[in-house]
Amino acid sequence: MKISKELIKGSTSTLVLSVLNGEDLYGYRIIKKIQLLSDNVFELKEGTLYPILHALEEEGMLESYWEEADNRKRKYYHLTRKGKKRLNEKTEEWNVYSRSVGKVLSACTNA
Amino acid sequence: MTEDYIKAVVGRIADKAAAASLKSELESHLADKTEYYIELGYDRETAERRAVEEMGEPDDAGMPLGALHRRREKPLFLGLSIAAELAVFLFYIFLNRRFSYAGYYYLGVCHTLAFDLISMGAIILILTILFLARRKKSVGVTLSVVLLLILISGFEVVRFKGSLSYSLFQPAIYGAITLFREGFGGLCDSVFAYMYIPQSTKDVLEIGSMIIHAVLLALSVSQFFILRRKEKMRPTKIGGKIVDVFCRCCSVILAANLALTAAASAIAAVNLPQKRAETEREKHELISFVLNTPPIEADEDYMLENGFHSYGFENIIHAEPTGLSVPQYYLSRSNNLITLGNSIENDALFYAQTTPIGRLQLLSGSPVLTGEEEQLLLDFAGKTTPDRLGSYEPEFSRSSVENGKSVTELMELPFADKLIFCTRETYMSYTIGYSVETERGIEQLQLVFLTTAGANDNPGPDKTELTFIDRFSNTDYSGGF
Repeated sequence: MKISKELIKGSTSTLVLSVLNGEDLYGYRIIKKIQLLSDNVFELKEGTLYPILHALEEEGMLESYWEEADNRKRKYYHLTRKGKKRLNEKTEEWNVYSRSVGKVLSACTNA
Repeated sequence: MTEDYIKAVVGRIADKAAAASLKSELESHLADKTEYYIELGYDRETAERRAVEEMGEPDDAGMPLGALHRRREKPLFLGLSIAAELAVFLFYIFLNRRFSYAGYYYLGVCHTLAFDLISMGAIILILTILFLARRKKSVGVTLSVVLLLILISGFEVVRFKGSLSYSLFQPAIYGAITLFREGFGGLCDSVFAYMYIPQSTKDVLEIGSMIIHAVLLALSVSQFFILRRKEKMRPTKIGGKIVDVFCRCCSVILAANLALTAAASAIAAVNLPQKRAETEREKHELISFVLNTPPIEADEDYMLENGFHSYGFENIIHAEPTGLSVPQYYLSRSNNLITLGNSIENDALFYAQTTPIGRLQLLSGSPVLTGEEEQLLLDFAGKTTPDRLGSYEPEFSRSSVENGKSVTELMELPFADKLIFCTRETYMSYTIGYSVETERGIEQLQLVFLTTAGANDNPGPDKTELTFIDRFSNTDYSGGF
């Protein structure tokens, strides 16, 4: 099932923050991880991911560093303490939101 | 194909460091992606093409990243500009007396230190707010900068004949105009106040200050747009460039302020000993002349033989209705010197500057004249040809009349082109008015009172220790100029 862009838009940065929680990743891996964890529902485009990554870094939510492996230099992103805080807030916000949407939808669907 | 894509995306990024980093990042990303398709069984070419195609249009990533990585204001450059501006003001404050402000004395304008401090305070305030605005990304703060700039548009406050006048002080503008008009030597001289600022230059300065004011205002407005844009993350490529160029130009002006002032001051400082020596020599020539001038009683024939005419009250213009409020007052005139007095004494001595604009300068006495009366005196000065450099007035000053031993002489100096008049008021004191010769010709009138030290005990011209008092600045020059 394809999710509409509008629906994804607001939560993309939260998804990015969440996949970086506990693991430092580079751009390509972030896309793959999101894709994997969402059962291929979220296929993030590079044109969406990189501006988000750079903006989050500018805001201090992420830190980056270069690492070389298999003869290739990769830029890893690391979730900062500030980023973790934001992730918790966003997760909480999302939980409230999805619970409430669920409640309304189920109430009206069953009616 | 891969390279084309990366080039297109990176081309949107103005910040060079960010662009280089993004290039490497995209390269490794595309390499990973290509490898993934090769593992799936595609040949390299197809794998590369798929990888790039999936990235989407270059602008999808390029536009928002470009907005994010605009060329940032170089903190070093900005810091240097601010330091430069502050240095200029500190420089002017602590070396105030030596600088061009002093030239305003001639125009009756006094520059005061307190206003300098206020000016500097205002500048620091503006810069602080500007910095805060950048950091906080607040539109409100930027707006307050604009307002402040309007309010303190004239941060150089000068006192002109009792009333305050405002003008924006910009050494770079002043320097550029003086440089253009007088050359570098002229600029150096004016920095150390050896020349006064001509009225016409002052007018230009006022226009200059308006331009600078406009530039500063525009800078504030541009700040406003920068912040707006940052908040909305919408890049406007042309607008961004204009603002960028603009910010740089302003920084250059600020830096030029310092460079110009520092260079002119350094050269003037090098020339200072020579200038001082010249002034000292002229002073001693004056002293020597005054001391060697015989009293009029002693050698009246000398005066006549040398073509000095009794002038003063013989030239009273009885016939001309002067229109002054006290009709029995008379005017007499020698060169551009005008005395105003009645049949017993002179009340005032003026110097009428008829070019480039009519201006009456009070040299002694304290008459209160209306604007109309001042104009009459100026008209009077303009009616006679200034053909005499020396003249004789028997009753020149009130004090000499009261003392009952009036001997006043107006004579030519050996360097006649520089002396306007010289008077001996009593045996102890002399008044010398002389002009300062500049490259533009004779321009500046200075009035110097010369008194012999310890005159009360032993009056006479033999005393060589002298005190010069500059009437305009009330400064004791006994230690030299």
